[in-house]
Amino acid sequence: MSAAKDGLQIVAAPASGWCEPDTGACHLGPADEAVNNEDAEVLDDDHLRGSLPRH
Amino acid sequence: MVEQGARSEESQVVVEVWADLGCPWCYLGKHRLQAAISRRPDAGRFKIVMRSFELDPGAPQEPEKNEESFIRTHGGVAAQVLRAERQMQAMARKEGLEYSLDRLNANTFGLHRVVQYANDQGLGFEFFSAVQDGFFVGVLNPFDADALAGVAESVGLDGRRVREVLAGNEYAGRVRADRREGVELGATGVPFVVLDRRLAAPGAQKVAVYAQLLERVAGPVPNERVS
Repeated sequence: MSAAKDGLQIVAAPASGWCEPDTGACHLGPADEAVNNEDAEVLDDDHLRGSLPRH
Repeated sequence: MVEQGARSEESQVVVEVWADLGCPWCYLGKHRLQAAISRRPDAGRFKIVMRSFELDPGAPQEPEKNEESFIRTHGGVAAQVLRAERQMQAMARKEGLEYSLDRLNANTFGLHRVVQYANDQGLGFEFFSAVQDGFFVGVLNPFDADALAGVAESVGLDGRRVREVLAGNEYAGRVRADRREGVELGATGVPFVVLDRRLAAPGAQKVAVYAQLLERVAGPVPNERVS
């Protein structure tokens, strides 16, 4: 499975919210929750950022 | 029909979800991911695999009130907790989900060990999802061994094995390894969803975003099947 880590792309689209891995603190994200969930912006290549370093 | 089944099996897409029980965004994110998958006529191709991400390893073994654990991890005062929780409740309700404010929290390491056992039986997501839904709806104490065993049996697991796992330390290494791997893969936010080991999404994304990620790894939504 580790070989599959290479080239994993992380989506950079703003999340509605998340909890921090280090502290467990949870946050409301920048995505506009007032907007219906169905109206989410579409992803494009700008929303994908770099690959992970090789292990 | 057999041919279609075989083709579907060949093209299964694994969707891994790093999450913790009491993480509200994991609850919403899970349902959004499920919604995105269920809208595809080829929904059966997608296999959700639970991965453990313990968010509060310092949480006490004895359950504490939700507001107590919130203040311990986030700081603030009870009024702020209530305001934040009501905001989450409103969002959840807007998406058709119950969200009880009267929850107990405690250490989830034992639960994650049971999830690992459930994964071995191919039922990790089904088990975790049932536990988390019961927890947020407010009808389940997931820190009670008998209650957990009951949920396990309801999804087809062996309740006796669940009690055995909880009484010992089985799967502890895998729970810790899951967390390490999530961090290594880039989990800057939980939930952390990895699709086919090609795309990863930290945090709770919207349904439309999950739908697009599914499309990227599995292709566009196929035409409706002809029966």
